[in-house]
Amino acid sequence: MSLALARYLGQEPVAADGLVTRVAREAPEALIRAVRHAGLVLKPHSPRRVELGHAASEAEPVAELCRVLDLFASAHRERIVALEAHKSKLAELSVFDLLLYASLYAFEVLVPRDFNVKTPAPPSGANAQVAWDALSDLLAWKLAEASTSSLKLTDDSIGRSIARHLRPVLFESRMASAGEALRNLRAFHALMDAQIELNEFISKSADAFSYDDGIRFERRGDRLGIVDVDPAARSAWRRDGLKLDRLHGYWFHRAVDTYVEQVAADRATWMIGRPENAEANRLAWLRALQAQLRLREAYGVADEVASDSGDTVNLFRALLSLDLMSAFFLQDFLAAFAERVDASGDWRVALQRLAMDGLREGLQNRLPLTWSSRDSKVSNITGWTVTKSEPAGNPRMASAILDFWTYDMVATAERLQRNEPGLQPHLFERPVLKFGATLVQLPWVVAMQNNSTAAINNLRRLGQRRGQARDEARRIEPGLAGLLEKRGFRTLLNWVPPRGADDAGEVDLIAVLDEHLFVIEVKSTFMRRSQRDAWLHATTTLRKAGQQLRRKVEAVSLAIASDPGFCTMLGLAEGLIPTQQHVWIADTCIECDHQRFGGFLKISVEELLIALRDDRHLLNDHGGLLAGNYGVDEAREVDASESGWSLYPDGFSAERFAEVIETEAVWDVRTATRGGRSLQSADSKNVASRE
Amino acid sequence: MRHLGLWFYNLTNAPNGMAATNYYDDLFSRLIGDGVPLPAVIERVAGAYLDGKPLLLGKKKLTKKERDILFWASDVVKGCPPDA
Repeated sequence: MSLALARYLGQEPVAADGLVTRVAREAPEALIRAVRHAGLVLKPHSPRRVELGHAASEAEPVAELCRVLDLFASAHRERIVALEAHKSKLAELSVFDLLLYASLYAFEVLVPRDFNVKTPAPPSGANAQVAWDALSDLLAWKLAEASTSSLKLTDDSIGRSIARHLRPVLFESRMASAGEALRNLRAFHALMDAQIELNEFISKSADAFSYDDGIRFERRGDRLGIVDVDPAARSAWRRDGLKLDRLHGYWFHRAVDTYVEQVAADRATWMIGRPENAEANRLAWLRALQAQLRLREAYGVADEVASDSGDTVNLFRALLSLDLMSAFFLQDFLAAFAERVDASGDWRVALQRLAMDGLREGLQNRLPLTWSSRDSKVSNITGWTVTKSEPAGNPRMASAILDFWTYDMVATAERLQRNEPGLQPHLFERPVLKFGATLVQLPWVVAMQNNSTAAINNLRRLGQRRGQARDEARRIEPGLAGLLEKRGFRTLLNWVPPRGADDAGEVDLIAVLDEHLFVIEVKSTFMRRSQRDAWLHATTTLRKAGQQLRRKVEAVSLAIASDPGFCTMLGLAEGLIPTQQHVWIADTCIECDHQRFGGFLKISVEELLIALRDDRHLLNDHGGLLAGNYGVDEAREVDASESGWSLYPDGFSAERFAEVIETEAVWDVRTATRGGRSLQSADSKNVASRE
Repeated sequence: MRHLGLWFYNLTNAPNGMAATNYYDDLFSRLIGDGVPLPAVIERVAGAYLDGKPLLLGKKKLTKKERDILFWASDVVKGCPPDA
């Protein structure tokens, strides 16, 4: 009922007279929890906030909560006012102008200066992801006010923008004519700072107040402090983030294994493109394989998907194209820029030289942002679609690939201006920005982004309403069933119980082995980046899955007891009833991992895959491939041997399988099961990729 | 209804065209009648609301606002014990 109360407090149109006052009197702690979960902290003008104020006299904790909410409201308002003031200084800029300043800002603040280290980092200590998010918000601000005509770029309009905003900063910075552009650049820095400050306030304070049950905000005078009340709950979010990082590594190692097989079968796949680019191209190939394997096995995505335009896209080629774009921008823009900063000690001089060198080397655009016509981009990508059967490439496929990664500025502006709800792509999810017939790219995003996450969220977040999404969700179940069958299970997919008063709905996957019965509910979503998103997932999809499973398990138990045909399908001999029951929610996303919903364990699909394939050694990078020290320590390679890491040293059994999942043995990094010495903890050296 | 001696359901809360009955109170009565314990009944009625049920009332498709009105005017909510 607390969640329902949070729903009430989060909406505005409906008032329930006396409800809040009554709950304040009878169950103040429940009300406080509901207020937090309702996100009321950022809705100071909601009628529910007024009701809460009226109820404050019922209980001191509620009165104190109101004081805390007032402090949050004041802090929120201050930040919005500051942001609006900075926006007003750049109100005249077009969307493209804004991206020019964003690109200058990025090369000054975000682009790493050293690419010879394991994790290149921004020189300013800034967080690139946080900056990209702020820029996405500023882009939405500009788009909401932009005329359609200003979003259809031409060579003329681009030329005018470059001449007014970019050229003075790069080439005329000591001249009086640069005054306006330099002022704008400083104003853009301040604007970014203000947007980041607001976003950080929302994510680290307001959302933490609302959705982090591991902390409590305490008021000290007119300041707020954070008190840890449940460290375990707090660390869950970080722990799930670390698991996500290790899963990226797992799929990369799987890609390496697959690539080795491909090269063994066809030596020609070793040399990709020109010799001088072969190494970078091989890495791009590996990253494309990494994402494809993950999308295919964990998300059920087919090898061909539909783009927004309805054309069919070969998924691997689409991934490869993006990874090749990343490799190109990394090498020819970011690393080249870093070399020039090293030589000159000045980011502006470095950008200047990069641009001039580009012009000298065949009139290539090496400005901090690039643009081209759609035809020209299709022509470039066509070269990346070359196959044996199509040695000249496939322009139609190239066109569909381009659509797959395109973020249409005009369409988004029109939606925002109509005040229609909808999802705004993150810059990395759709990195080709479409301004009419002109396509713009931000090298400093494309070179640094995680393309695997981009692909997953492009399909599963932005594309959740695609016609294929349902088929993809359904394809995960036979994949898991196939792995279970290889281990000796009898499985039953998508069993529909007889309809009763308490309709249970379809049971995704049932498996039986050794008197152990497994009932698995599969959920397919996307990768979440905020605690708010994770909380919403927990209280909607996962909560519902727990409730559904209760009815489904009852239906399965009833069928085993009373339906001989059902027992036959599961290979259960007459009178043989499984003695052990394991009921799990298997979700494509990692959030709330190993928590219980409706009493049932929530795990990830990927954990199930790894447990059934018995290849957890690939989670641990013991050869040092990802750490950048491959082959340095031979003893570590010995430790990485598969046999030492088997989850089933005494052979596979249903009982051990259940134990492996329930004890999180897949994620264990401390000891090999046989023959290995103690291994170092990977958790201690990884840094969570999420805020 | 068999529970808690609650306030009388105010029919004037029913939106135009809605039947003068309450889905959530009916669900409550059915589950109590089936012998489901009270805490579980309340959880399931609240769960139905959170899951966006009912979709229809008779032949009329309910809006979110109408569902909110129905739920918050129900006797289940009005009589909900503090520990729920």
